[in-house]
Amino acid sequence: MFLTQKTGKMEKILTVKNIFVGNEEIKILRNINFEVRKKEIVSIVGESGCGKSMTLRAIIKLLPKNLKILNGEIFFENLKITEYNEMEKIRGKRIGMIFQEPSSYLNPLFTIGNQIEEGIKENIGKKEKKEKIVKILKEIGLSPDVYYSYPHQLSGGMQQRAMIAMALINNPDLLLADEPTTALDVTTASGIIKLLKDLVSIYNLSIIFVTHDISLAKYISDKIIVMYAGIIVEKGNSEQVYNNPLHPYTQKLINCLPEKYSKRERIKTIEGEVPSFKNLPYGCPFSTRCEYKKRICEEKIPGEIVIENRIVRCFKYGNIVES
Amino acid sequence: MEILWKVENLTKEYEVKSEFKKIRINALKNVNLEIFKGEVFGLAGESGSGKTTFGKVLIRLIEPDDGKIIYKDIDITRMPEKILKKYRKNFQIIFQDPYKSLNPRIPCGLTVMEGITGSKKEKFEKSIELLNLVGLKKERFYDYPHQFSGGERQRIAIARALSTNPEFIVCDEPTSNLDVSIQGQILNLFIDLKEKFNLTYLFITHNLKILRFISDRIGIMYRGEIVEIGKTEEIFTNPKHPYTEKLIKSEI
Repeated sequence: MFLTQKTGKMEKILTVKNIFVGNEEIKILRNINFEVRKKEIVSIVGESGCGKSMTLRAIIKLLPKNLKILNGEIFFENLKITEYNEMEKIRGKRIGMIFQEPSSYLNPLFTIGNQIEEGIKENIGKKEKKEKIVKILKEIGLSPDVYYSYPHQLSGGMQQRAMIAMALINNPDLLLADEPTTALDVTTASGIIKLLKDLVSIYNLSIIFVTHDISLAKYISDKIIVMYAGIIVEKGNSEQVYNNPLHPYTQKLINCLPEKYSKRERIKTIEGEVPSFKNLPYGCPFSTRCEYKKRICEEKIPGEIVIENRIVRCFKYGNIVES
Repeated sequence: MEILWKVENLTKEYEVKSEFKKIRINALKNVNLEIFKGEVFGLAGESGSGKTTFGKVLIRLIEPDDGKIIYKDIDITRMPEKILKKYRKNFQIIFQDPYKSLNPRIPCGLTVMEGITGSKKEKFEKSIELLNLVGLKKERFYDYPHQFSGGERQRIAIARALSTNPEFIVCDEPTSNLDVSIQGQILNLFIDLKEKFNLTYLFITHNLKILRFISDRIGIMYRGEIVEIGKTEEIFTNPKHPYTEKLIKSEI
């Protein structure tokens, strides 16, 4: 089990248990296990194509048509999402979501106020709805005039804030954020990140934050989950994972950051590429790029090993095989 | 140090139609700066601050409205295209999104070959040499852009830029679309090539960590103006302009 020192935050909001996603030919996610507690920010980190976004999509059951959850369970509080067929009662109401490019999720023909109003599930009058929207716009750092603005009149940062307002209008318990700052500038991005951190206490919110930037993940989150080719290779407390990574992939990922080097020193990059899901190595998926590769790595998939309060899947730390 | 580029009072205005009126926007406002030979000059600022416009005006992909661009003591500001052509091969540009800057219907080897002069055999050999230099195998000469990954496409864009033996390259956010591991590989490649060919870069980025890592001197742009210019470490440790300070503080 995953241990956290932060007591008082122990109430689980989301439990993902042994999730497998894929179809007859390919497996996209393999044995995904994690928990999100109340008021906690959990980051999922990894390169493109490692299954980060797919994990979020599995949680709200919006997988592409050709993929499905093959095995495992997802609990949202006590509700078994994997066997629940009325997801529309949960999506947008209890679980909100924001995306990388806000402009492509906003309708250019309607005002922001209109679009936020559309999402309100509560049965209240038009006037109350407007009051509610203006209140949330203020909380999110936008002027109430934005109510009457069209998406093209807003900057990227303001659009992302409008998306956050839309996601939070029904007071959800969980926010899924899929690279919400990747398309934004440094100053705007840091504004959004700080806002998300503040919202956690204002709205009693838990956040799953997907990013490829591990230093950003360390800044924003309580826990970091590192994914590679559809499996979780390491998860634990953010500071621990960032300052003392155990899995060779996490180590190399952190070693790629330019800020770890002096001027124009050669960056130690990860050789090779992420394997495609059609061509996964038989054993540990990272074995093709790993310098500690042993024979067992090519034959078996490593199981979860608990070290120093976190979970690592690597044969370097013991020969525990995935069952 | 030899001055490669000298820019004086460079100004560029755009007219933007907004609802019922026309607004003039200063994309560049009285920009003055020098770029020395062999250095990496970093340019930072938010989107819309005029970084990209500056890069494009400098090598005259966009015509300036006012001011002077001096390349090695030659004033190229109003130089007719016919004469400018002689210098064009000396400066190149690499864009953010390699998928948009490569022709999807031309095999990559041929894209690289376009800029090379000489007999057909020489051209072919030189382009293979360039592909090898940027880390691509000869077998991929006839592959189309969509068959490459994002990092590989950026490598092709770099090979294409090198095909004319330039001494100066504008790198316009060349790594911001890439994963961290690929970003590292491309940055390494830029550094290798700089040392090998004694190149000068104008490196445009909004990523301050990359800026600090790669550049010798930096300029900070805000609304079309250069608000601060100086040695990288000096600016990062002791920013003078309030905007620079805000920018550096906002970095996570």
